[in-house]
Amino acid sequence: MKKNNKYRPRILLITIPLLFLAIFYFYPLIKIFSLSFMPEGEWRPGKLHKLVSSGFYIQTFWFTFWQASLSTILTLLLALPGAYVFARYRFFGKNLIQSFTTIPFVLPTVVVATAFQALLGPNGLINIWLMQWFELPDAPIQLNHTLWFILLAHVFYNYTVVLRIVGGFWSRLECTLTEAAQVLGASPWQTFFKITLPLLYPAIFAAGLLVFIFCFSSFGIILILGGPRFSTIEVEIYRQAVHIFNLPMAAALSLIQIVFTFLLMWVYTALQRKTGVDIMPESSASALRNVTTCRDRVIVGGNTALMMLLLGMPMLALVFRSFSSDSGLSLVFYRALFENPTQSIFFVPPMEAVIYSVGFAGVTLVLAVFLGLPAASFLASPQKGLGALLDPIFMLPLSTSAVTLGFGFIIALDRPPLNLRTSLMLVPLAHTLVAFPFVVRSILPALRSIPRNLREAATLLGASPLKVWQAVDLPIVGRAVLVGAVFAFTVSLGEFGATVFVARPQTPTMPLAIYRFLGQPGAMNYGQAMAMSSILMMVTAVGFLLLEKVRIGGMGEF
Amino acid sequence: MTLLEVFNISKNFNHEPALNGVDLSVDKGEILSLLGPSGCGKTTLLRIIAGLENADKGTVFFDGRDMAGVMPHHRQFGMMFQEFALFPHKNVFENTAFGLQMQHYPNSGIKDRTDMVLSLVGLEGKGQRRVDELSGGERQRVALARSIAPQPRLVMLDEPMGFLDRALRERLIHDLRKILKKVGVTAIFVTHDQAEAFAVADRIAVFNAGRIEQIDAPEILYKNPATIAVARFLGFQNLVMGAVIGKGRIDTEIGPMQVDTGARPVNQKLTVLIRPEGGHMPENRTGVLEAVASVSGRISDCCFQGAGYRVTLITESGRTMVFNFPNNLDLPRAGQRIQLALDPGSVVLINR
Repeated sequence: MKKNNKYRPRILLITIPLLFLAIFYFYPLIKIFSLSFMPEGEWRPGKLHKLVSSGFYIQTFWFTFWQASLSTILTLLLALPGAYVFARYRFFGKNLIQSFTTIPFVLPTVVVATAFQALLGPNGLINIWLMQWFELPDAPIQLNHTLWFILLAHVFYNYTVVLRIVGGFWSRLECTLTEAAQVLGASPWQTFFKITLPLLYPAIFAAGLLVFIFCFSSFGIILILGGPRFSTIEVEIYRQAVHIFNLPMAAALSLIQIVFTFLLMWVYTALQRKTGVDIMPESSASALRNVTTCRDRVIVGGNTALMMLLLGMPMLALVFRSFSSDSGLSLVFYRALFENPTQSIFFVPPMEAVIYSVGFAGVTLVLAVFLGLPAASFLASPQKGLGALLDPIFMLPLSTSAVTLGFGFIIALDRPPLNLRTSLMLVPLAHTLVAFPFVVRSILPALRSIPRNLREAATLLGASPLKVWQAVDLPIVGRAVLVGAVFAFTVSLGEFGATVFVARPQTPTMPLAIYRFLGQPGAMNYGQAMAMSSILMMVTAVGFLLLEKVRIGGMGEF
Repeated sequence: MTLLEVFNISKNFNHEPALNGVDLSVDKGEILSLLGPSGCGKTTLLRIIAGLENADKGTVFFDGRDMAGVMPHHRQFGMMFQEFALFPHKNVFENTAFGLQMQHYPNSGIKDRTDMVLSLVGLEGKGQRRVDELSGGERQRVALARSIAPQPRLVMLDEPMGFLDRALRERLIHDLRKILKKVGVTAIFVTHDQAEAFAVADRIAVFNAGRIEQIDAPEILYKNPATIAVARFLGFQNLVMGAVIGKGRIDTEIGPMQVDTGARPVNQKLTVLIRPEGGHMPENRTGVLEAVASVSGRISDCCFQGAGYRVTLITESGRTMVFNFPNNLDLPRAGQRIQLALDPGSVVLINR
């Protein structure tokens, strides 16, 4: 009896998040499955088989696979020397550069795509300059709608993943291991290939796998930079569902996307558990070298220059292009965001997209924290069966691509019993689904860091469970909740893959507005895309840097 | 024959001197121990000799050749690291064979030599074991095997016992000397434990605050510590101030003594070391008067230690001194006054 009494509030704690997942995650997922296997309402796996074995389907899958592989290899090649520099050297401005390199990773994919258009697109900064200097009639660099453009953007986006995971792991490798090899007669190259590299394999593999997962489910970048010639599974789901309205095909594509991302994520978490490779490990300050010799200067200087060039140039170009009109620097594109010209592609002034975005993000924040806090509290309390089972379930939305989530939403929630097609809530609900795992993951470590006897002491002093939570948990977890909230907010602001399915034309979000601007001809639309991307980039970057500050402060407190 | 010569080595870390004008030399086949408290620069000196660190000043000569600019992997030195630094992705055999592979030994030669060295250190048949399955003592043996397998011209051991427990250390330290001598390798052995240094070394260099205080054979070092720091580091507590007052006569804060002053001039200031085993309880008062040196004071503590007693004395000048006595004596109790005759051989003069 007593045990039951203790158990009941905890079960209550978990029902609402579970209910949320059941309705907005599992129900759409089931719909996708049933649409794949039963396209006309009856069991017809043969139809699925026909779809799956078609050349088009295999071609899409093949392209998705090898562009992801190529992107991963390229990212690893470019970022590994940087990881070495961060792991082994101490130099001026290191922390600042480290924070800076993380910004691309948190930028919305639409912004990344726009930034690359601003730098290397046909109307991009470099082409304009080259045309001016050499008086060329056409843009000399034709990267738009080529594979190189996609690869470059993927490297930009994922560089920091490799830098952080491999760099962090590398910095924890004992220096004496390589020294021992040297003393035993191994040259620097032999030491690297026989000692360092084999020891780094788990980290390189984990980082590579994560980059592969991100590139495998890349959507916004390929949609915008690749043009009609290239499509990954994600892009094809979108095209089949929204443009061609071939829902069974979209469902069949979603199916393979779901299976594959699950599989990859499962391998990744298994690997992570086995090798203890954290996504963002703290770097140890021990055994860092100063930059003294000429060789050091070349290595450190070369890599930081590469980081600045690769990661900084697109962002700078974006901001610069947003201010440069035909008549020199001006605010004309920003001003245009407030207007609603007759020929507009919107029903509303573009600036309203900002208002919708912020509104949706606000609702997402509240929902995600409201759902994430009880879920994390439940997981944090010591238990065996249920918690161990629920932990991976709560993380599932993280390993489901945004496009499949969005597609699931429109096929599941557009008819009774749940008809939300016209509801404004559809967008924040989709965003909450994406943000919820982040919030749980932000709060959980803080909750687990509270020693149990602290709660027991409060209980013995006469505090009711609610009071214990108020007096002990909340003050300690407050900061983590803030981190989770900022996460949810920025995730919502930049979300594109799911939004593109569920947002209504008259209530666009910022990434959606940017995408539509880019799809229209004319300098004005282009400029406005740049302007809005710049705004979105600033907001996300500031949000993220704030987050880093809060986090570091939080670590110092315990 | 001198193999390694180190001249005037200095090294600063963040403007703090870690090594300050160190000179030393090691003969072929000799085991030299660098003894000193932790953080006194011993490891830094090893790393400079190995070429893993560059000295700010000074030169390392090996076999008559200046080693400046010779990369560590070309020096053919062996090194046993403090935490052993075994390669975690290689097994015992692969760890041990690594140096031989780097020297491009033929494969059969590598196998024979590695097996031979592994059996030398008592690890025969354990070549295929993973290094993280090994006990601390076994790891130490692998590290030793790995460092001597490629037949280095010099092997350096950095606190090789540091991470092992006491009982294991005492057993392994004697094996270590046996193995090093059997191989006939020239060795530098870094430790902070004087017992280890005494057990392994042919000669000991005592380090303090980045300089060498004394280099001598263990017996000489123990009998004649050259500086107060050496005396303190060897565990001697009975140190009193004094000065030479004439040929064979000194005055100290616990009274005058007749001891061999050697060539020291009158008024040479001294620190006088009195060994704890040098005190005798005289039969009668004349015994004290006849003694060339004596000390008197009040017993503050008398502690039974099995093989003997350890008596703490507070002299009239207020100095605390410690003496050891055999356990067959009838000792005065704590609080009583006592006068001890000192064995002249137990009085050591250190110039100040």
